[in-house]
Amino acid sequence: MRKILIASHGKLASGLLSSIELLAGIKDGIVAIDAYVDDNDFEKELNQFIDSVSNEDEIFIFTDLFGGSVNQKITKRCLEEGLAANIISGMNLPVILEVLLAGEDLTKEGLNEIVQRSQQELTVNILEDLNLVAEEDEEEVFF
Amino acid sequence: MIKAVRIDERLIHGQVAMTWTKSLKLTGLVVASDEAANNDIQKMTLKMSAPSDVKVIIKNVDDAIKLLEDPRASQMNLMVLVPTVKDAVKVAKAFPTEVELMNVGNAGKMSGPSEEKVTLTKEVMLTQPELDSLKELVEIYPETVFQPTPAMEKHSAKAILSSH
Repeated sequence: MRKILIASHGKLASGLLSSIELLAGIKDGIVAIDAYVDDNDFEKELNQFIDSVSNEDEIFIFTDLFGGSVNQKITKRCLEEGLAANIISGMNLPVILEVLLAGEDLTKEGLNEIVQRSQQELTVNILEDLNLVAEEDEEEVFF
Repeated sequence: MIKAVRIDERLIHGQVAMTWTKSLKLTGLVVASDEAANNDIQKMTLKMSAPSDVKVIIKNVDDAIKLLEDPRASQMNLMVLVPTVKDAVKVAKAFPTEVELMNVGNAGKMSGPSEEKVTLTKEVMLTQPELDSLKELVEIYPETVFQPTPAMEKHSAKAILSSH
């Protein structure tokens, strides 16, 4: 089964989960960890997630910052546990949605493609470039 | 091929662009809306909202029907997006057997005063004339379902209507 962990400093992770639920209507198989929002770190939640998955699962872990303490700690635990997790950092909403909604098992290449596409979602909308195709050409462009 | 007709007052948005286009392997979105067809700014933003590998065309309802009759349309996997139930009925009458999925997504929350509306689901609230249109739609397509995204539960429009 595809298992997804979203982890962040502060409430970004649960915020992303809330948006994912609204857009895709799914939250089964997805865990969010908001780290450091109280006096504890996130060890307990991380343990719960790690206990809930096995290498039979397709594991995807999304973190906010590459090299941040959340990412470091999760990477360390996955290595210690020998967990075959795909860890993606610098997460955004498109990349999580694409992984969640990808139909079949994701290969390394498939995951890389999704990451590349999602990187392009960080874009400046240049309003002057949004031109309409002339009315009479619309159907030719469509078909 | 008309894979689906969807009633969605937001037309193309996250739910459509991210979930339906993938699950139905759509190659084109046909927006059939008299209002959107007459609004260049809305047309631009709708076109911007679709994934880059899915084509978009925005027409008033009559012209959209004409476009769907073009033989080239049968080569594509299309979703037709209409803003209201009434528009869906118009499309259904033009294609009484060709639509594979008649889908009610989001309707009635963004327009008009809510005190005159009946809440059918979290996503759909309709006025009496729209309820009548829904009955008409279900007569043509008895399998019409309320379903915001493919992963969410389907509810039969027939069953929802019978409880209102």
